[in-house]
Amino acid sequence: MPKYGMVIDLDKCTSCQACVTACKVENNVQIVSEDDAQNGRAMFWMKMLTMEFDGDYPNIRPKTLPRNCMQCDEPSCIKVCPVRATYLRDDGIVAQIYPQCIGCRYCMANCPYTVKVFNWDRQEQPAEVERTYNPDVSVRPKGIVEKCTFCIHRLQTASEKAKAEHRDLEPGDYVPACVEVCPVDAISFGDLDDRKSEVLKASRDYRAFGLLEELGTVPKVRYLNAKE
Amino acid sequence: MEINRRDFVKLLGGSLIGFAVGGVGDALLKIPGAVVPLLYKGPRIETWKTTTCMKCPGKCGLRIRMIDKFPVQVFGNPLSPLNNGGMCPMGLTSVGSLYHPDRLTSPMKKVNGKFQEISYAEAYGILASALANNKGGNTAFVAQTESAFMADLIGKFMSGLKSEKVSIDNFASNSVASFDRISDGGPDFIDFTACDYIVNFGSQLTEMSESPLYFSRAINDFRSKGHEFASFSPKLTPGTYKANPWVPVMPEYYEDVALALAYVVITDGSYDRAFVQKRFKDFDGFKKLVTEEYSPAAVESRTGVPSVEIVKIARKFANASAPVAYFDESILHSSNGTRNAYAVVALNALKGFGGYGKLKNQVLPDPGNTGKGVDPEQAWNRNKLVGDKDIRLLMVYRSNFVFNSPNSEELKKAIAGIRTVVSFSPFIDETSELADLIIPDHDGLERLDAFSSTVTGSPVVSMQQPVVKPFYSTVHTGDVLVTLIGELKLTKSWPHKDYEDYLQASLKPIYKHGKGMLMNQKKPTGLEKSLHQAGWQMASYSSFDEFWEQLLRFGGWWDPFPQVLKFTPAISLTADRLARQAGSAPVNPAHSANSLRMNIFTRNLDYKGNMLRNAYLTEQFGMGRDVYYAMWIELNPDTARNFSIEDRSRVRIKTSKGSFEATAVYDPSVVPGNIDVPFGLGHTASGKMYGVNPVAYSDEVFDEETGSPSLSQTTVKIG
Ligand code: SF4
Ligand code: SF4
Ligand code: SF4
Repeated sequence: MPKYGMVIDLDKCTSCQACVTACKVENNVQIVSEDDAQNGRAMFWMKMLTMEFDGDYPNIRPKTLPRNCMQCDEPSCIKVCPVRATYLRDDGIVAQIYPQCIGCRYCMANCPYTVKVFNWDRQEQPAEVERTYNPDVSVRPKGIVEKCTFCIHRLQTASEKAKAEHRDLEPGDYVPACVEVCPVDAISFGDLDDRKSEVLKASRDYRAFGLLEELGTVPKVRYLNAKE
Repeated sequence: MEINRRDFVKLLGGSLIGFAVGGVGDALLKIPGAVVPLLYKGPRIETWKTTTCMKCPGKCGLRIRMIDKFPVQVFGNPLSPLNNGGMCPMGLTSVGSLYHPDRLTSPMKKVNGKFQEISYAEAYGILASALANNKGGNTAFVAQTESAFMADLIGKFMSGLKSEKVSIDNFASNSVASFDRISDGGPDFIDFTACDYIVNFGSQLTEMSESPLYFSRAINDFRSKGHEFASFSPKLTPGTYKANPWVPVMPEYYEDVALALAYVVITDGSYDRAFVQKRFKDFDGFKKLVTEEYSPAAVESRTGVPSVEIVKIARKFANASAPVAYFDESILHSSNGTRNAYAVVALNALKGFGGYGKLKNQVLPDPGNTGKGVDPEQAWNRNKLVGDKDIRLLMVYRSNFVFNSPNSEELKKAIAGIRTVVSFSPFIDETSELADLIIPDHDGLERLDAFSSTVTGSPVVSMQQPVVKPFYSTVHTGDVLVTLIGELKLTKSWPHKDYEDYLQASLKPIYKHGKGMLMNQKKPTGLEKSLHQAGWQMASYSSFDEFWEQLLRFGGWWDPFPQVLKFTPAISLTADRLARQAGSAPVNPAHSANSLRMNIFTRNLDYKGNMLRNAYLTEQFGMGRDVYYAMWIELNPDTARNFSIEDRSRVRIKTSKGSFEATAVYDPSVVPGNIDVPFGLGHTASGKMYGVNPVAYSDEVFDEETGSPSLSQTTVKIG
């Protein structure tokens, strides 16, 4: 059984935000009302964060990073869900079962990375957005918590295809949307249990680190520091 | 032109109308919401088509995901040598405009200040009568297009009308316009195989450039080889995060800084003597000017850029074997924009343009020379519209220059005085709303066009093809122009019946010479390389029709084995073109205890005002600042404290044109004394207005030579 993980190389990343947009359109993530957005309820599964600034003006640089669900191997969110609507799959993906979610938002509160978002409302989407929904991904109703799924629908499609072709899933068959669109290949993705995989190599690089690792969440999304 | 008006109208009406009828796609689509049930009731068959993005100058290859023949998603074409499968936020959401409920679905005529739908017969009648009255010089054309083919066609049309009043806003051509003035054309590309140092003057290479996605990869590769690029710019934007160093400087000082670098290279004696002797006319005059007036110390005192920094960068530039001093269109956005560019060109000349390259035997329209063969006077720009009383017909193709110009009020008045204004905009925007007649252009996914590029060092033609039949009764503006040229007999022989025919003729040379490859594989295999050396060509087609079919199917063509030359232009740059004229010192907004400078910055979510009506991009616009659907400004905390402005407080910005409110966001990388204001919001033409357009609040400062608006020379008060 593979264990999926991701490594984002901050030396390559140009902060272009294509991954943010790609995730939003791939997963039919709701565009909330203006009021909700202004009240901190905008929904992004992948978001560009500026953590802090290094150095002093003018030799100053922001530390920016694209941040999605860390797909923790010890996820604190799943421990508090009263109805098991969020759980850790065997392949390492922290999944959400939408119909089971009762909207209590405990998991949101318990995620140290604040990556989960809540459908406070179901806003009517602009016509051109509705018409370009990705038919592979369901639209979530009001009252449901959601987050990055590692584009799990793409895993399903890739598995079905491999099965139809009577072969095993191969590296490169399953590629999340953010990984696909990144213009500089800053995001590597794959099986952390595959000794030959790029993603495993990257995750063991001397520049690799995880966000808030000290909490023991064992994030499977890791970063590579910018080179000095 | 002596044509009886009635005949003319009949003639034109007849030949043009054909385009409209074929265009009315499924009538069902006219009913709002009709697409949705179609989309979800179908058998859900997935297909893919390739095309090219037209949202910015990048020309990225696209793969369109279609469900039951309707486009739903956009991805990058991994076989395009420009974007290599990568995408940007604008491209990713570009499918939205196809379905947008605000699209114009048929020609519109303004009656009593309101637009109403009219028939094509009537629309072409209006256009035809306006043209029938044409006397050379009273028709003007303003266009924004990245297609050199479309630009060429507009040029042909206008030269046929004997009018030089053509303004074609094209990134590649704007970027080399200054080269054209003082030499025989600009470079085609940065030769990354040789280049080992880059000094960048204001270009947002990885964000908004001739190919943001190509440059994103190229700059990463460049850095991974241990090379450095230094960047002078008024703001630390993502494209400069990786610069070493980033030196903050306001655009009107690029000229001083470039000449101070030249000073160091000249006084160190580390310039290419042979080159300047042969190719730099009046080098001695230049040398005298630079050594007398542009010492690093003098420039430091004028601009605040530390002389140690200048000396350090100049020596790295001089010691590199193939350095590049880079600039593009963005350098023009200053009162002395063209002089800035001249100074950077001169700096390059000192090292023989070592890091640049040129292609030999280009058979395509030069993407950087939209005026080829017709020479529309490039300097006839948006601002010349003001004060030109002779114009009776203004045609506008996809340019929203009213939104992009600080003198929008003057422009509006000037436009109101023109008898007939015809727009080809697919939407009502701040410019098309002023038209008397709108003949809406197709959406990008319904159009046929070609985009040529040389940035990668190979000639590339990226094809845009209609991935769906036009949904509505819209036109291809190219079809209209091809027909007009023919029917009005604007050139001697004009065999083309429509834009496709014209485009095919323009691309025939590629088929004929048989060189290069289609975008059907990433690059040639080892075997193909060695076969090529033996004289074999990769062409996979045996007739022109086959070539054309494959060109569209694979999304384009490029030549992996280009013949590359050194770029060694002859520079005719006399010192007087560089020296500041008395009385034209740069407009330098005073920094005083109670005033600041407004610096307008652009992001890769908008290109020249095109974010209008893109719901995804509008939402994402302020995400990084957690400000949504509203205006913000960025300022250095030190500056903010002097004005007692708290982080994330609401402030009012006052300029000579009025005032607007914004959220103040602290950012320690902002140049002290500046407020940085994002460009992209503030559309007023239709739909809901979010934020303001800072350009409308700017002082009317333009590049003396080209008329490009300055984005950073406005003094503001804040409170
Ligand atoms: S798409 Fe790639 S380069 Fe752009 S922000 Fe995301 S990770 Fe960074
Ligand atoms: S893996 Fe998929 S769901 Fe997760 S951030 Fe990337 S695009 Fe979004
Ligand atoms: S970089 Fe430009 S051409 Fe490429 S996808 Fe983005 S908008 Fe389109």
